[in-house]
Amino acid sequence: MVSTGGTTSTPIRKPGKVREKRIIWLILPTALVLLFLFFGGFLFGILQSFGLFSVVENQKSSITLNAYRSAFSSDVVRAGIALTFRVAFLSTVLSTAIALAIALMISRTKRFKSAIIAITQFNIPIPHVVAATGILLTFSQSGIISRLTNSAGLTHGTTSFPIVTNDPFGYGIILSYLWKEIPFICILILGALRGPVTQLDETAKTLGAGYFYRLKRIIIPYIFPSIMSGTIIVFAFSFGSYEVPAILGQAYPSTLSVVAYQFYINRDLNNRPIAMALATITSLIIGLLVYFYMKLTERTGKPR
Amino acid sequence: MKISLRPLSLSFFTLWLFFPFLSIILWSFAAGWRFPSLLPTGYSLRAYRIALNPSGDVIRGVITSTAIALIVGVIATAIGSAAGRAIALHDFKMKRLFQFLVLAPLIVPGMAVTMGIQVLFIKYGLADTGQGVVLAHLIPTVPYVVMIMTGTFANFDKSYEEQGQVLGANRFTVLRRITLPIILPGLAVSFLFAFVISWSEYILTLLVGGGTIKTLPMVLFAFLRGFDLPMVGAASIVFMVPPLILLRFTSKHLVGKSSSITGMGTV
Repeated sequence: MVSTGGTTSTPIRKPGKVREKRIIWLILPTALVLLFLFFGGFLFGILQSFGLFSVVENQKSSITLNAYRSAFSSDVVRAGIALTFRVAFLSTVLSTAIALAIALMISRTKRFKSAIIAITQFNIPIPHVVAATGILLTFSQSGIISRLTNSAGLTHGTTSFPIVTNDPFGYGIILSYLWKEIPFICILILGALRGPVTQLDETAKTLGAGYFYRLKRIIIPYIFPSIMSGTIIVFAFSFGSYEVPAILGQAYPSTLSVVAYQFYINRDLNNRPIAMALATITSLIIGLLVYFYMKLTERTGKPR
Repeated sequence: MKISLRPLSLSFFTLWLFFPFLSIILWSFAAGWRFPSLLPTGYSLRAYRIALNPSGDVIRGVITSTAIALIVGVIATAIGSAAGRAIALHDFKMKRLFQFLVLAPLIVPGMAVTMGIQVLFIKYGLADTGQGVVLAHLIPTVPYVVMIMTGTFANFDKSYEEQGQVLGANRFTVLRRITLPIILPGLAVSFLFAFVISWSEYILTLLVGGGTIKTLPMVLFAFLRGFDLPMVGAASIVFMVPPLILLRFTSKHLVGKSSSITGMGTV
C-alpha cells in the first residue's frame, strides 16, 4: 500500500477520530449525571427560589424576590447564618490544624505506627449519623465523660457538667465534625507523604537540613494540595450538611441546613421558595469562600 | 521536649477516637445504666434481639440500604472510572469545564440540589421510589470516584494495553486481563467511598424517598427521637459493621505504597 502524501493522511487521521469518539463515551455517563441531576437540580432550586415552578396549585408563576426578603427578615435564618459560619469555620480550621500536627507526628513515629494508622483509618467509613450518636452518648450531661468526671469528683451530678451537646454555641456539632474530619485529612496527608517527598526529604536530611527547615521548604509545600482539598471538602461539608446538626443541635438556633429543611417540610407550601432561597444562599456562600480560598492559596500551592 | 510530647498527643488522639465507640458498644448491651454508675448496671441482648429480628425495622433497613448502596456503588464506580480515564489520559474539548463540573457537587450541598430536583422527580414519577433515591445518591458519589480514578489512571501506562492488542487480544480481553487488574486498587477504593457515602446518606433519601424508602439512617433517627439508647447503640453497631468490613478489604490501598486517594490532592 505504497501511496502518495494525499492518501496517507487518511489512515493517520482515522485513529484520532476513533479516539475522539471513544472519549465521548467515556465522559458521557458522568456528564449526564452532572448535567441533569446536579446542575439541573441546582438550577431548578434557584428558579424555585425566585417563585417559578411553584408547587402551590393555581398560583401564577412570576419572578419575585419575596423568598429572599422573607428569609433575611427571619430571626431563625439570621441566627442560623451565625451558627453555621461559626460551626463550619471552627470545624475546618481546627480539623485541618490538628490533622496536620497528627499526620506529621504519625509520619515521624516508629513504634505502633501501623496501629495508629489503622485506628485513624477505622474512622473514615463510619457514617456521620453514627459519629453524631457516639458524640451524643459520650459528651452529653449524662454521657461517659460526665460519669468519669463525676466519679473523679471534678463535677457533681449531671447538671454541673458543661452543656456541650444540643447547645446554642454548636460545640457538639463541631466535636462530631472534628471526630470525623481529623482522620479524613490525616489520611489524605499521610497518602501524600508516601509520595516522592520521602526521597526529597531524605536528601535534604543528608545534606544537613533541620526538621523545621525541611518542614517549611519541602514537606508542607509538597503536601499542600492534599491539605487544600481536605480543607475545601470539610468546609463545604460542615457548612451544608444536615445530619449532624439535626442530632447534636438545638431547635433554635439551628444551622441553615436544618432551617431550610424546616421550611421545606412546612405544611404551608408557600414556604418552599424560602427553603430554596436558603439552599441557594448556602451554595453561593460556600462557592464564593472556596473560590477566594483557592485564589488566596494559588501561590503557596505550587510545590517546590 | 518535642519528642516526649508526641506519644502523649498520639495516645490522647487515639483515646478520643475510641470513646464514642465505647459509649455505643456499652449502651447496646446495657439493661440499665443510670447516671452516676460508670458501667452499665445490667447487661442484656434485648436490643440485639430486636435489631436482628428478620422482620424488624433494623433488618429491613439493612436490606434497603444494602440494595441501594450496592447499586449506587456499582453505577458510580463504572461511570466515574470512565470519566477518570478520560481526564487522566486524554485531552478533549471543554476538559477544564468538565473537571470543574465534576468537582462542583463536592462544594454545593447535596440537599440544595435534591430539594431543587424533587419537583422534576415528582413530575416523572421518581419521587418515593428506589430508582429516584439511587439517582439522587449518584450526585455526591460520582465526583469522588472520578477524583480517585483520575489519580489511578494518572499512573497508568497505556502501552500495556497496546501490547495486548498487538498480540491479538480483543478489546474485551484487554479490558479484563490487562486494564482491570492494573486499576483494581483504585476501583476498590472508589467502590468503598461510593458505597459508604450512599450507605450513610440520610437527608437525600428522606427528601426523595419521602419516608417510603426506609434506609438504616432513618431507623437510627427514629430510635434517637424515641430515646431508646440500647436500641440506638445496637442500630449504630449494625449500621457501621458493613462499611468496616469493606474497609478491611480495601484498607491496604487507602494508605500504602500505592495509595489510591492521592487523586484527591487534585481538587
